[in-house]
Amino acid sequence: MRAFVERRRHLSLLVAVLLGQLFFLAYQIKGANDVRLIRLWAFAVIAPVEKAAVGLLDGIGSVWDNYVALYGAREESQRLEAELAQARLRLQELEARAAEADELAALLELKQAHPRAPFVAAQVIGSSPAATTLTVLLNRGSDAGLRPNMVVLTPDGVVGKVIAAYPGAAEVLLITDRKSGVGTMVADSHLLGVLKGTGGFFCRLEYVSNEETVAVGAELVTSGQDQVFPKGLPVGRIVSARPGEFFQEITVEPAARLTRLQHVLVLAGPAETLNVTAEATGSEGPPR
Amino acid sequence: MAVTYQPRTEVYRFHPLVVFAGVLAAFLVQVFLPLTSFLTLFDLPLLMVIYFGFSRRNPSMGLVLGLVVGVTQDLLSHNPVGLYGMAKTLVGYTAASLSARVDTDRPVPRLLLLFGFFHFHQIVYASIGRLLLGQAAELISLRVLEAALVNALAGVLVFALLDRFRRTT
Repeated sequence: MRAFVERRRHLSLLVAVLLGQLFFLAYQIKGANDVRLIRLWAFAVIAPVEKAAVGLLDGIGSVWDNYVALYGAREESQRLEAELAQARLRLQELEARAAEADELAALLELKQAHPRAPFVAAQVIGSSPAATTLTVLLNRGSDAGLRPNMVVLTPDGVVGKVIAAYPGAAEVLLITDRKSGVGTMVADSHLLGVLKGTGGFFCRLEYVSNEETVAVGAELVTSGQDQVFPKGLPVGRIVSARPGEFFQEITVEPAARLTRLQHVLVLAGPAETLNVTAEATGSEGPPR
Repeated sequence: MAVTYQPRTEVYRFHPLVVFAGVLAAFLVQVFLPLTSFLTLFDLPLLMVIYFGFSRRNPSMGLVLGLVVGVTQDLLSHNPVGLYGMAKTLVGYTAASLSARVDTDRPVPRLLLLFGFFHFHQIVYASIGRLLLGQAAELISLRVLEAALVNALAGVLVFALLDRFRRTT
């Protein structure tokens, strides 16, 4: 044991003496760029330690930034998501209100264009529960002066007619319903026909003979011959026409946006109060 | 019959003046030797380090003597201090450590050990010179072999002379 300790003592002294000389040698010797070797060694030893220390600090900083500092970020994110959802909802609500305001403005404009016409403004509050019947329910009824066969329209064109009026509500048959029939004529050529509903999104213009020339895209207006719809109201636009057995098969797209009805005007008076004629509207668009 | 070697335990003591005088004499002779091709082969200070390392059998003493002799040699030869110093420190330590295990008192072992130590010294010196200074020092060559042989022979003679001054403890 003593010999071991003795040997270690000698060895330690040897290492110390050698290292001392080595460092002294390195102090004397100059390497590249006239830099002392001991300085180069020092940097060679210190630089990796410094790099490791910087890397460690960066790692700690990264852990701090990405994990510790984000403590509670999930709750914050959830709160912000909820706020965003509310904001989106609010935006949709505002957009709907803006659209509604535009629609109401258009209705007002239509009403002002016909000052003598006794229009009753109504809101669509429901639609037919049966798929085979295309009707909508208005929030105004008999108490507001609504009666069956009164014309319902929007600034875009004819919607349909009142088929039943109740206190506080009225039922309107859309022009796309199978039972609907509107006396119609082509605005340009005054070619007469009857607009029948198909039960879908489109209508059919009937009783136009194969000999007549019908242009796709032509505007249709009411003819006034059915004694219900005043003459000259926009009804729709021809989207296709082809010869049939006796009469042409003409498909018409309704002028009013029947699938997105919100507010309508009901003409609660005689048709003469309206300032529209076929000549007046022509293809220039709906009366405004 | 098996021949076994008994580790030597005798430790020889020298009067400090003997050590000082021996080393000084080695330096003086080394310094004043004419710079002929043959005489420059001698490394008398190295022989002093090896001899006193063998005799005292104390590694610490051996390495300190090697350090002093080597550094002095560096200073006198205008080498960077530590070049000979490290080489002779290692030689002094190794000689003292080895002397407890091998016979260092008889001429033939001395000759062989001196030959080996000269190469050891040369390898350490040349390696340090190459690594730190970029010197093209010879690790082994005919001249190194020649120098090793010359110093080994001279060492046997010098050791015999110095043996006269040692005392057994």
